[in-house]
Amino acid sequence: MVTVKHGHDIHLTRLPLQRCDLVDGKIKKLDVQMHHNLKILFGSVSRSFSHSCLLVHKHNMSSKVSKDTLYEAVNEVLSQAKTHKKNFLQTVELQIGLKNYDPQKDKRFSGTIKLKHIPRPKMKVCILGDQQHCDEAEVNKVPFMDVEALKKLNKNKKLVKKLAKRYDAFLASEALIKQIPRLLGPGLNKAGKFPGLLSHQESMNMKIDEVKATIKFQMKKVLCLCVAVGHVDMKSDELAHNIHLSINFLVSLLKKHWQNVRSLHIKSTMGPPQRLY
Amino acid sequence: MTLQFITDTDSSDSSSENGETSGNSSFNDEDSLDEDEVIDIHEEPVFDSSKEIHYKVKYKQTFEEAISSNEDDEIYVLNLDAQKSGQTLRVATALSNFTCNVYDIDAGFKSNTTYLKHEKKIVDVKFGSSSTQLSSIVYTGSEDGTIKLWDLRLKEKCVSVFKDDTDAELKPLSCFDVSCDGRFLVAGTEVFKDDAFLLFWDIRTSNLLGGYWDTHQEDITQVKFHPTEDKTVISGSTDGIINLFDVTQTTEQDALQLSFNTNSSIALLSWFKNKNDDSIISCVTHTEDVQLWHTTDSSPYSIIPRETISSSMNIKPDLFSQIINCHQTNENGNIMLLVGNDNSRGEHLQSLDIINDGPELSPRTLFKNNKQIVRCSWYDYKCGVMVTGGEAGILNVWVPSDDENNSVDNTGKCTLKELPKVSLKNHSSKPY
Repeated sequence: MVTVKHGHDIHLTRLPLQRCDLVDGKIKKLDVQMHHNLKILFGSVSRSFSHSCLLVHKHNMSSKVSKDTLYEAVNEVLSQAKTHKKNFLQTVELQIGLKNYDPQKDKRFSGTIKLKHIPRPKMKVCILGDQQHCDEAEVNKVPFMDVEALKKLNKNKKLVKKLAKRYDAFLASEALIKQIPRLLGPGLNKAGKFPGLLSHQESMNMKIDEVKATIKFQMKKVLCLCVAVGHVDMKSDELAHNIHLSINFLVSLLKKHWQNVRSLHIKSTMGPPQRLY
Repeated sequence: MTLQFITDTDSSDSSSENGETSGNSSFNDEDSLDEDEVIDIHEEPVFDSSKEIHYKVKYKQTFEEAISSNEDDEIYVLNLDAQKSGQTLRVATALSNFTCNVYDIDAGFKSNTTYLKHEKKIVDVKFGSSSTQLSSIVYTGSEDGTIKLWDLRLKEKCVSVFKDDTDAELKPLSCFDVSCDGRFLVAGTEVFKDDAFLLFWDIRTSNLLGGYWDTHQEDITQVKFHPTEDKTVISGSTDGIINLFDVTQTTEQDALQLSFNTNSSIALLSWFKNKNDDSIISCVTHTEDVQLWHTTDSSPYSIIPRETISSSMNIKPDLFSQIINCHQTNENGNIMLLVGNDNSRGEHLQSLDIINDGPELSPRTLFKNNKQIVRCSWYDYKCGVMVTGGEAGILNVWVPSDDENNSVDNTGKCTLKELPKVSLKNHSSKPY
């Protein structure tokens, strides 16, 4: 029985066999790089379980990146951006390196996260609205199109493609959303910009902010993932909050949680990366 | 690095919780660890004992097959399909070693095994339909770009190969389905030269009928024929869009009937029928949420977030659920979720009933003695049989039974001590 110390909340994870040597059903050698606030303990080896013989107890998933480290990195990124001003608003992205993850076997790592503070304020959202939504959009100075404007595109692939390029996202009224494949063909789908629903029960501006605050992440064949979590004009608290939220959410989706994380960096578009983990 | 590994010789605390571990594991740790940070570890069960959970339906495990013969190669069961006729259950498993194993299981005993091979990962496996008896037709689709049709009765089992050879390379398939009348095949591909394809074949001639490639931006992860209407197909992708097609239309533009934006990434799609005979689409996302859609609506009628699922399970509040599948539980179209949690030794596996269209959930069955993270399942509400496969390469069959587990009390509560006793090989030879 091996015990390793420390921690507050407990959490169990499996480790694959290749990370330890088994001799007579006992673990002889352990080759695990572990962070300090981690407990480990291992159980028994059975025939069916030999590959998952090691249980790692760890606590508080977010405690892997301390508040101090986080703020230090955030402030460094922000101050770098202030001293080296660029003529555009730099994005801050979170880069996650993974390990012990087999894209052939493990579940896909992809989805969306809704952040608290809008990471990309310049995102352009267009309303495809019924009369009421179009009127509201006009008052709010939000770009919009009505059914007639969509009909004018006449399913023309080039025009639809152009429309899809002009905006980052679309929201459509209930009456329109079902007609969109008929009116525009598959053009918006192909661009990955099929509209979300804007109902009359929700406020248009809040819905637009929600779209702007939602970011996509997707890991392709390389074991590295980048997500835009903010920009350099954010307050350090806001940026830190977004990063904290993203890290916790992403790590919770990984099968072995922190055991799948090789590294965490934050970086502004033009600045140097800052290591978090 | 302040971690301390201890060569523990007085492990009374931990071994009492962990009966089968023998005391002194010699531990040669190369990392220099700080010796004074030694504490007792109490293994904390993931089950929340503060909650008394009543499970409505009791199940017991009647069959277990460890597929991987060598302990070192970690073979996962990635997908499976099954069919039942009389006492015989026929199960096809798509394994991570590019093989599909087909088993006949008679009253809990394996009677026959067939091995089918591909060049690359098998993404899905399906039996041909047969109303009265066991079908000997198996389809396997693979990232090698082919769907193979196998006849289990024949010696040269691969009968036909479906592929799209209109480009120099074959497109890596990521999913496929067979139409309800068994005449057509549809497959979805990963993004291949900037396009993600839906491809259609006529099964009888094995000719490629055509394809769509203008409706998804990213890899297509799911494609499903409607269970009763041959002309209706849905596809889902990591771009978060579900597209519904009428495949009798000649062009892709006309075929695309409806699109649903899930605002997430789609892992699984299934068709269900409710008691009014309306079609329902269930969508499991890669962020472990479930959405239920009527095909007539423009937003999901129910969204079941991961927090709801996790809190409906009998696990500790800071642990997370993993959704394995959605299954229909009766002819009224009630749906259950099969969910797991990988944070225990005997991996937690249970089902939850969706109450009144959700998001309310209630515990249905706790599958005791599960030993792995389950990745795929098959369930038939008519016979009540559940088949599961997962990351330890184990195939399990579960049937309803009041006698769920002889070593366990019947309160439905489960603690770590009640988990299967796993014994080492050399235990039996220990002299007493």
